[in-house]
Amino acid sequence: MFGQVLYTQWKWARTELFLYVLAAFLVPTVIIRIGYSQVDAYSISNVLGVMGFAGAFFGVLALVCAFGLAWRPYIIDASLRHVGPLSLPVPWATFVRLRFLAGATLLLAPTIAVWLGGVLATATTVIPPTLHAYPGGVALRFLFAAMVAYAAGFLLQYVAGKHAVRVAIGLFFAVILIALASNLLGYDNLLLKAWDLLTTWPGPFSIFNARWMLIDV
Amino acid sequence: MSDAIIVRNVTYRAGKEFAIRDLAMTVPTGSVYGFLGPNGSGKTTTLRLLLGMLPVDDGTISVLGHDVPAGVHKALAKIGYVPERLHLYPTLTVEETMRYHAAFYPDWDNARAENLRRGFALRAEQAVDRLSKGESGKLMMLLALAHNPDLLVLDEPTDGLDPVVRRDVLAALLEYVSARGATVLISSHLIHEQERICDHVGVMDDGRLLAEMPMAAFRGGIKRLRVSKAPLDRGDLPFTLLSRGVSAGREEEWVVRGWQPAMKEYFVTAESELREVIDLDLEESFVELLRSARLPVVVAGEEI
Repeated sequence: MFGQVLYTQWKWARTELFLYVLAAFLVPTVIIRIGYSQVDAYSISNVLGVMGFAGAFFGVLALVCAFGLAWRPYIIDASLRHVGPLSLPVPWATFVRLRFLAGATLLLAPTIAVWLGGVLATATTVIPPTLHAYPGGVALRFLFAAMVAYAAGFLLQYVAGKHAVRVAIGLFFAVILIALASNLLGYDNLLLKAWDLLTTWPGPFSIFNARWMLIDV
Repeated sequence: MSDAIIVRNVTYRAGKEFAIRDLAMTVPTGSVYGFLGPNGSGKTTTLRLLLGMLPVDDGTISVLGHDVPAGVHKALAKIGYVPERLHLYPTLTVEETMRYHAAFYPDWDNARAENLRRGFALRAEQAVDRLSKGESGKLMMLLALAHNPDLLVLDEPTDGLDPVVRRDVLAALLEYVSARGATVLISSHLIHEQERICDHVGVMDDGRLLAEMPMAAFRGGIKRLRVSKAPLDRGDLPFTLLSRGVSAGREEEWVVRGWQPAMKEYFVTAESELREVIDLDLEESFVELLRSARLPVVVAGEEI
């Protein structure tokens, strides 16, 4: 069952998955090449600056991959009124679990591309003394970040169902309203505190705040 | 197990406008049960309730000995379902769709599936979204039959198909049923098709099951009577009066259910004259049944 669910989800997502993999593979090399051409490759602070910029890209890519893979199967099932899954002789919870695991498995493809791209980029780059390459570390962070975002997107989609987009937009505006209200009431740091709570350990999104450095001390 | 499907006092409300009300139906094991009703009468909703796709508000459902929804997954392994609309993933090919379904059904028969695919002239590499309506109908029937189901639940399986494809689909269905003795619940508004293949019939309208009986009783039990000097007495009719109207002069036309030849005696004792008993075909019977359910019988300005 898992194999077939994985295959269908791969077939639906293969074009975008190819783009994710391509981006994940090429961008470390491209960023390092362009970044290094602008700075002194033997200057540690310059190199770390370029790596920090590249790190932000990995976080964004993890988010895009995760939400794309989390939402697409639900949207396809919903367009067929979920009749296919509901008429199969497995409980709904089992089917949803299979969907989740299949999407999570597909996230391995861009993760491997991040690792391979990182290995290639760092292997063909001058690394200043005292600095080291961490393609495996960045790939692991990418995987964890993508899994967290994937789980959040999947949960939102399967709990909110056809209202997921509206809920997501509602959340976005709610954040803006809270920011405005807290500003008007003099609680300037209310939203920042909430943001910190979510993005610093042990917050669920703290992985996005981690050091995504392909080359680091 | 004598009945494949047992539904008791089921109520389901879908929004403010439509509800299934106090539904009770029984589909005997081995029967081909035709589920008749106009569009929007609640047939598809009822089938979805039977398969656990919708939650009942009240009442009980048992399918193949399993309570729904608690045991519906065990039942679904033995049910072949053809929904009203195409429910297959458009980007998969015919072969991929078959493999996908095979993975979920423990009794999937690859040889049978392949035979059906060849018999239906479906190309394995054809994408589902490139199939014609007829080919889609064939593929859905293939998927419903390939895991040797004990019960087939078919929701308008031949609706919109051309006569050749319809014949192929029905032939495959009947061949399977005769070989396996499976039970079939087939919803359709193609009455003549139902008349040919069904041995039991249930008629639904506006969320209610109006009648449920063997096909022979349905076909033979509803008659149009031409009555002269029609009696006014309303309390002692030996049959169910579905409709009553003036035909010509003092002659009236009655449509009755549960007619038996011996009931002619009633008119003698009521001092009226039964001039003619007219057989109705299934479609006329169906229409009269619906009409009687929607309009109350009025005698001498009074509803009965």
